[in-house]
Amino acid sequence: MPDSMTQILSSGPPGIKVKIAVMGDGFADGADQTAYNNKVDDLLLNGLFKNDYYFEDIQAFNIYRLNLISVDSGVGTKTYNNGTLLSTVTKNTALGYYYSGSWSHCWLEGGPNTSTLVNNALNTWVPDHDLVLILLNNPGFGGCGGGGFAVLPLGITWDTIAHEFGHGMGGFCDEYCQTDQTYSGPEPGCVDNTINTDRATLKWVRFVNPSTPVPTGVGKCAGYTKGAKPADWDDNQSVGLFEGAGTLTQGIYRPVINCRMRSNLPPYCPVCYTQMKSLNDAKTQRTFLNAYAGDFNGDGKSDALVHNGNGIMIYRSNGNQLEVQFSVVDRVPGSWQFQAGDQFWTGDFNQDGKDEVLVFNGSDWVIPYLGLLADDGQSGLRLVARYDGSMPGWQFTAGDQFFVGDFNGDGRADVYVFNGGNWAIPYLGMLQSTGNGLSLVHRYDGDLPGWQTRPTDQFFVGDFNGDKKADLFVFNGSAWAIPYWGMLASNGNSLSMSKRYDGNLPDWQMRPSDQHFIGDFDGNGMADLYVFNGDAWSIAYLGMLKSNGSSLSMTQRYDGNAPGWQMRSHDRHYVGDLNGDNKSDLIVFNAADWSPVYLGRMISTGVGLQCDWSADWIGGWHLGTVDRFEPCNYQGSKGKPDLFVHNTDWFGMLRSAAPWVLDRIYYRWIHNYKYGNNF
Amino acid sequence: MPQPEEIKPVQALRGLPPTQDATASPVIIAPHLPMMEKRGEVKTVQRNTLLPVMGAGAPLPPTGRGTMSPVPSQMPAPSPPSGNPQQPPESHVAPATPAGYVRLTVRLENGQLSITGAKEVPGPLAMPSSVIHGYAYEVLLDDQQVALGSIPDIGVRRSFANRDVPGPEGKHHFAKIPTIEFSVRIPKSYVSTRNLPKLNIVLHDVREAPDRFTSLAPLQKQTAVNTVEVSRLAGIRLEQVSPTVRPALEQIVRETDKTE
Repeated sequence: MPDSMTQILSSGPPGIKVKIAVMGDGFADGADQTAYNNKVDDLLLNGLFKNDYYFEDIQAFNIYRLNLISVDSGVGTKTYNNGTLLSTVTKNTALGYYYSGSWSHCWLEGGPNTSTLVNNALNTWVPDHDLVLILLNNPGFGGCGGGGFAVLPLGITWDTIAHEFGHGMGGFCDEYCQTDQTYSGPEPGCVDNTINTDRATLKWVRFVNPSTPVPTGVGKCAGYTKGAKPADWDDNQSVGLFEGAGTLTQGIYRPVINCRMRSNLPPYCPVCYTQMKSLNDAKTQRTFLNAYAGDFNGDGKSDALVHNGNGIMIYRSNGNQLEVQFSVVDRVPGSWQFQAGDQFWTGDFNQDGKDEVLVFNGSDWVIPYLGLLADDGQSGLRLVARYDGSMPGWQFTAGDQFFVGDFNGDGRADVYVFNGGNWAIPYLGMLQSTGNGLSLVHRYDGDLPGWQTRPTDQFFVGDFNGDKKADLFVFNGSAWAIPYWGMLASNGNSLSMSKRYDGNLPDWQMRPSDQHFIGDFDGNGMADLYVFNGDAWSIAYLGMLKSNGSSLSMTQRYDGNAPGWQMRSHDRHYVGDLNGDNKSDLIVFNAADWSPVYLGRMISTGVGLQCDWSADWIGGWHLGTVDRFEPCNYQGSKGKPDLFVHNTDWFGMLRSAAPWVLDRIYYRWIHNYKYGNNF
Repeated sequence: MPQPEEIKPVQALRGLPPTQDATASPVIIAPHLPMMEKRGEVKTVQRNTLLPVMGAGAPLPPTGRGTMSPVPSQMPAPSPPSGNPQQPPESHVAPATPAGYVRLTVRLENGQLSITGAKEVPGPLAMPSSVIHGYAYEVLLDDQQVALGSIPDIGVRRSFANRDVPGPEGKHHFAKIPTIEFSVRIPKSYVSTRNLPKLNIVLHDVREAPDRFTSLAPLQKQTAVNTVEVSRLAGIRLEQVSPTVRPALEQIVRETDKTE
């Protein structure tokens, strides 16, 4: 078999990613190549990139595996005794390496042509490289690194590579202290060693709690020596100043007691982690723009799914902060390949108490795809169903619109799909969840019962008759001489028109620019309607229309002002249950009509609203025009009292209160520092 | 995010009404428009006489591409996903790449920088937002940064430590390498006959740097950056490039010149 290359991790163009080239020496054709492939997977895909920093930032990396065929199996060996070469066994291998097992000879060494052979292979097979990992087919321990290269035999595990990449990519110094000697050199250039014991100028002071003594540990290779270690102290994540680093025991200091740069297996400390994140942040190509709320582990707390290009991340809520739970680039098992045009919806499609993810892409592939992603049993997602271009009874097109709701009341989220513009006539489909896929139970070709469908129809889901089956509201303000509003009741497998309003709703003159928000504002189990219009009249209007199961009646209409809130054209509304009383409230945001930017609460009493607001700053969050909001329940309390707020660089967790409370704010990446932050 | 006191002057520039007032009258948004009819008196329907009303049998304006296939009488049971990858459109199979970038291998020997390799790489090149403390390079053109990169871990060869055994093997064994080579990546569009003499490749020893750069000024002119210049290749002259590298570099330059 000739030499070849397999890209085993594809995150993007080489000029944007960290490029790891992996080569093997002494692996013959056949079984050796299988062993080599397995070892690469063990070390990288199932080792390094399944753990902490590398797992989190997998989207920043490309891995190219070079499949070099050696004539002989195993690499040559050299035997030393006290520095004297005793014997050499040469083998005919792709790169000509020798394993010696001699620490003072870097455990291994190249042959006369090794450098040329390595460079030729790299130039031939990889477009570019930052880090090179060369695996020698020898079971011994050891390895030789430097200059972005790491050459190692098979007796090495992923955590050693993580330590070596700390040198090779982060430029970190060692934090262990093996030699009993006092450092006498200048201030080290790396971020994680210092000789400076002055708190005010300490290079990692931003991570040191003011209550932590500096230095924190003195003496040979010290732990915490300045008093009792605090109860919440974490030897890996709590930062101070500890003597012993850079391989020496004294006169030089490290940030934590036990970082990966000391003992391989622990994660990077906050200093090293932040350096690694900063270096590769641009290479992840991530923002917080596309975020979705869902309870992916069924603990009652909303988690966050963030999508970027060809990857997603899931951040799990513990009630007041988020932690990285799942990070994937390119595809999930079962094969859903993420793309920029993916659209996501969350819901419990299999009644397991956890939210699944419905994903549609109508723009990035030769045909549209619809997928259903479910828990993979390891806190991640896998594809359980995929429809390529069509499913029985429905042909997907780019303009398909999806609406999630349990329309048959079986406890599983189902899907309404509408397409008004891609066919000669509009279509509406009812796709019932089977738990592990979707099945069309009814399709309306052209008209709905009592409703002439038009491409510009707008649909909203809500159980307006309280039968636990998600019904449909439909509005069209522009296609006809007058606006129309319809209420279509679901019986589980079809729809019937309960009530159609022509021109006016009760006490409300409909206009094309009416905005509708569905929520049970009186808590009687039937979905009601909030309707807002900020530009069709001389003042803004907000109506609360209560459902009696088959029609609507105006409960309250606010002309210009709601109690505690002056309504304006650019008010943006979201539905939540902000006080957990089972009555749907409104969140209102206005960044355009006032000098301050406002985030308000419109709390429903069942018959009216009581409003309050925060202006400009909520804790450390500066409200701005670019902010997006996702109503959720990350606390796990009653109702839907929380908001994820996000924009390109920032992600925040806002808790409903008067005024709003910021629980957490994150910049560029989500990480909970024991003390300090990265901004 | 900036602190509140830094923001207030910006807000004043917006020229918008000052604040919400819960006791104020409704805001008249559009005085030329009417008010909605009062509650209990809503009866008037605004009609667009150019459009029909629903139910008048109005034909649907022509859209789309025919009709969907009929719904089958029996739905097959769902099958597990095949595991096959999704199919990219033809234009994605062979994407038209932008100009690409050039990877130069640069050698530092006796304090002097020289180019020992050149390779064109397709696709875009991202400018890093940060560099390590230690060695880093920047490429300057007319005093503006056009490329930047970290060079961690150079000039040293390091045996892995064996922490399981006592004695010296428990730490790295270091050997210094007198001649070091590193990669410099430059967007191809800058590698032209006109630019080559003006390109400066600067090797820095970075002592302090922010988490995130916000300027394309030379590192030494940026605030919060403390660097020592280790060496500089001031201008790239093809006639001084080694014969083994020169053809590849000349080819890249010729291609770039054509696009200028």
